[in-house]
Amino acid sequence: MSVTSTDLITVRGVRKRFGAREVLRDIDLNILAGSITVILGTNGAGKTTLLRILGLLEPADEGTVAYDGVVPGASTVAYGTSTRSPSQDGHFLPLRRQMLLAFQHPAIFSSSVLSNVTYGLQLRGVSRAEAEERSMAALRETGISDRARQHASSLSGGEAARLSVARALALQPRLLFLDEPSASLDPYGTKLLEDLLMHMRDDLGMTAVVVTQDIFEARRVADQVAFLHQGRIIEQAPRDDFFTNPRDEQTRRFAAGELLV
Amino acid sequence: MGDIGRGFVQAVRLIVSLDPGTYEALGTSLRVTMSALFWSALAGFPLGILLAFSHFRGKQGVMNVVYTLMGFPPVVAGLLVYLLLSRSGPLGPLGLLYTPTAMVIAQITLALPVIVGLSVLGLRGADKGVFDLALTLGATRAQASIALLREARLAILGAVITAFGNAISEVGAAMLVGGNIQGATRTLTTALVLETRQGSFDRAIALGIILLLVSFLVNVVLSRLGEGTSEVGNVRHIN
Repeated sequence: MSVTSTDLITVRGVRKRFGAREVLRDIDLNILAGSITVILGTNGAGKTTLLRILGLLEPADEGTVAYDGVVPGASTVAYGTSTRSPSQDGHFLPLRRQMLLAFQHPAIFSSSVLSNVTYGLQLRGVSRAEAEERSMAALRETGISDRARQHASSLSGGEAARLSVARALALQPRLLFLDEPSASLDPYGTKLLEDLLMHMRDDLGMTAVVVTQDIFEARRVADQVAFLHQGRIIEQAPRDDFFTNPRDEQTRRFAAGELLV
Repeated sequence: MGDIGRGFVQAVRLIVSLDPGTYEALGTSLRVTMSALFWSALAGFPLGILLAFSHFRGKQGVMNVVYTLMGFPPVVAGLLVYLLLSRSGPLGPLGLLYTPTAMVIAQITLALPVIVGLSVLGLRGADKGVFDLALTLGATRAQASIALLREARLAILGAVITAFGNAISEVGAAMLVGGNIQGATRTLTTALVLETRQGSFDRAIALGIILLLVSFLVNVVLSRLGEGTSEVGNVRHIN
């Protein structure tokens, strides 16, 4: 893996354990600016934990994550035994406000659909009127603007997933992290999501990291694919190389849909 | 007409005739209970948040103590505060015994565990994902905590209502540390005990009805406050 000037995130030697269980072992990963990176892996491979570390929701035990060019100047989070969680450190707030993580099970505030979207904008000091205007536009793009005034708990699973995407469209962070984004979507919703994802990359210059176990989704949206297996990155490559010419035997078998032992 | 019927008539008479003794007792009850509730909430909700989301050795033990204290018999709480404040007690020199302040202290020992215990249960029950959601949307941890508190607002309302009900209706502690002094520490409940002892059952029942009426009105107001709007949280602009 070579470090180029266009790497927006550079992960080196990241480890994470929960009690005795080693979830991530020595992760190295590069996220190219303006690209969609799909992290593929089976259940329990450590995908969600890795995504939460990249999204600064959870600290790693060891290693460094460097965010380059997300906010003015370089921001590197170096993890060690005494590191506070980045979410507790005000120094990283501007960086955190340039990223957004959409959870696998879409979380909602028990309030109106609209204020679920405006919340993030108002945190950034956007006036209420402008926040509502931008949020309504985002809800229209995701096809749930007719639910704006309703209580968010009345949304179906698929609509809640659309709400997550609407938040991203309204906030337009530099970095978007999606955890199994199509898990609760029907094929139509999945198509809409993937179109919006590519729109955000192409027209808004966003960089996205998508975690999924769906190799077909990876084929459709990925620029880069990384294969995470048992807490290790087995292989990272441009999409076509990854699927047509995998270097690693386990990658080849996973990409071919074979069972891994 | 039985005592209960006469009590109703008497209650109406005491209320409309603006009976000074009754209104004095009512005022003392409300002042003491509201102060106790205020201080209990001020200390209790931060403690509740801390206990709900921190992990430390012996936490379960602390929670067991809190849950036990939620059922603290008022008369025992009163006795402890009495011993603390009595002339020979450690806080005796402050001269607080038989003052409304003493009653506030006694009621805090009853209300605080209720606020802490019920807010821990409510916050644990609230969707933990909401805290992470607020964080990833750009909230500071303080702002995320506010968002979480709003998610648990019904449970928090329940804690306040329960603590209020416990405090305003207790008589044992108010009697022991307040002393039921007319015009100073006489509350609706201690007055009610006195009237019953003196055989004035109609006045006692009237006081009981007024107590229920006040509880009802306060609960209506608290519920209104708790229902709130459809906003996620009071977003303060910290940039």
